Amino acid sequence: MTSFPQRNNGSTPMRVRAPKDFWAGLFFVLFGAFFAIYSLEYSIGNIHRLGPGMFPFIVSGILTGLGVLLIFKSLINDGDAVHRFALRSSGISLFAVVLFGALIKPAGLVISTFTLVVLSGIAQPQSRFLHILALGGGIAIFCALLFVGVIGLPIPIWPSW
Amino acid sequence: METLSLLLYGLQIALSWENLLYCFAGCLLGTLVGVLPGIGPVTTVAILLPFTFGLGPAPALIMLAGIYYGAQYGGSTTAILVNIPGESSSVVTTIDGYQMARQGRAGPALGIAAIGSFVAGSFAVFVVAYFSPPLAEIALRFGPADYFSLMVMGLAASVILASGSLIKAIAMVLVGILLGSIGTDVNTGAIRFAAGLPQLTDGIGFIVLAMAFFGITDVLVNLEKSKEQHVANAEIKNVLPTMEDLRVSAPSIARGTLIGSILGILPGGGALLASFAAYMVEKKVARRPANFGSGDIRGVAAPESANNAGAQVSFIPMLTLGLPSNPTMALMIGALMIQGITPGPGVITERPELFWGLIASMWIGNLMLLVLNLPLVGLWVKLLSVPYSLLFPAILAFCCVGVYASSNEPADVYIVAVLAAVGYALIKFDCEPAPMVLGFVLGPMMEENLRRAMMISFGDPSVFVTRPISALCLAATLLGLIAIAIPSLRRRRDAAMQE
Repeated sequence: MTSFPQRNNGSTPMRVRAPKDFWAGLFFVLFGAFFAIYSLEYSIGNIHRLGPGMFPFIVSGILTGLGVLLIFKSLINDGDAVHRFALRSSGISLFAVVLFGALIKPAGLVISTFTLVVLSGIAQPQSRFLHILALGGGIAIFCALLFVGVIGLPIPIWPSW
Repeated sequence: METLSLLLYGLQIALSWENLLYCFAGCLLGTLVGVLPGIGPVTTVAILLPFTFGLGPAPALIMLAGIYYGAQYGGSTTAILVNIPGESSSVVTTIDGYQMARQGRAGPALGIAAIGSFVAGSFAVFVVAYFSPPLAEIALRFGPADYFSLMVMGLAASVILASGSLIKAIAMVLVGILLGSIGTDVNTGAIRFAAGLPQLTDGIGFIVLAMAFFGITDVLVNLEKSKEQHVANAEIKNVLPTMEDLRVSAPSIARGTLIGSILGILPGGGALLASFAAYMVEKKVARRPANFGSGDIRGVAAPESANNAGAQVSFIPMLTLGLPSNPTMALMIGALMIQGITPGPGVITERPELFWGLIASMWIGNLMLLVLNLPLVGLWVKLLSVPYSLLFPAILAFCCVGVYASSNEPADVYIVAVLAAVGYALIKFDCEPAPMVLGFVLGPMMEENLRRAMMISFGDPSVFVTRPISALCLAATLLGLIAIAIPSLRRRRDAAMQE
């Protein structure tokens, strides 16, 4: 767990007074600018027949503008600090999701679901390991029965070797 | 009466064994998941969406609708028993509902919520049945410019009625529109913003987006809150309200139903606005207002009726215009599109079995909820004590399996992880994902209509102000945005949201 860094802290006259707005603004600027520049690759077209680049370019332009506005506001008005990110629990959970994606094709539904549940479950210190194992087994079997057995989706249940 | 005979026709469809089963399954599952602590209706619908993959359009929609009311009722149950609203529209219910529960009157509170919801739902069914067909007929005459402006208005309304920063909400809508533009452009075949990844040529799937922002992001946010809950007075002996309770609440239920049926059609926060307004009205008209806030049954009856009526009436814009008025309706549209149906004014005439079957099943669903909830309250109370540490791995699993099942593409699972991480960070910066999802759904339709409008008008942008419907929508949008930007009005909105 780390606290979120703040820029320009105190020393310069340009100080971020509203960190939440500042970071949100920065995200919008970066996201908007990325799409704006990327959309230049496509034809803008003309006003009669809009090209594939026109609409995204306009939208990303406005988004970038709003982001800049938010950053300006964050330098003038006071606002809330960003709360700490729960890096451990969210990191493990997201890693478990990615692992599921990597396992599902080679290892099948049961093993990948079990791994996902157990891995994300042990990230929470308050739960007992045995409970997590039972939960993982239960959910894996339930998913297999429901999605493959009842709904009939074409997902392999077990490893294919 | 034509509408009545069409309703009977719908009833025949809804009463087929298959559809009855899916309606029942939807209500049961929706309540079951919705009552679990920390899971709101949108998340419930998102998690349970894959259950409908193998079904045809009508059963799928009927089941999803059942899930939606079930989840709403589940949310009210947690509001009353644990003081945790499942979503914003049951916030008001916590005020008097939780107090009633603390005084040992949880049973009557839950009972009146169920009865109020049933009455409101039954009335709202007729509102939907009578108002949708004429509205769809008007909508059939809309040109692309009108549609474009209507969508602008819808997005603006959802932004204005949402709580929190206006700039952030607008920006989130735009982020959603941009995410929606990833993939193959239907007009020119150009593959946009795919960064050379073949998995992105068809764009980001709706399921992927919904699972990421409503499923996994939700888990990440919940994980950091300490989940200490106090189930109020877990012993529930009698769910049936007394005759006195019923007599006191009857007018409140009627007022709540009416308010919900009117306000529910508004984009953005139909059910939310309705429940707040209903509570305010009750406070004003009650002869002894001193009871409110300390366990007045009218404070449960009115908002619960209003939010259920509002929830159902919010189907009208979705069914007639193809426009989602809230994130749950966006999920419904996503589900319909997966079934190969483009929601819009044509659906009522082209797929009458879908439209009338759904409406009739709404009423049946409400009846089922009433029958289901009164005896099963004891079970729901037990579910409330399921610790989140056991719950969230299950949510993660359902989201992942659901995403993979929707496409058989492991890359979609990776995209979910990335989007969920971004969504988590954005929530940290006070940026809500709901406007983004609306933007994602509406973005491609807006672009399409904008292009068509410009083509038809030979490049003359004045069509947007010369066509009366379009001009009206844009004027309303402008007015709303100006009104909300005026500091004094803005403070009043914030104060109303706080209350």
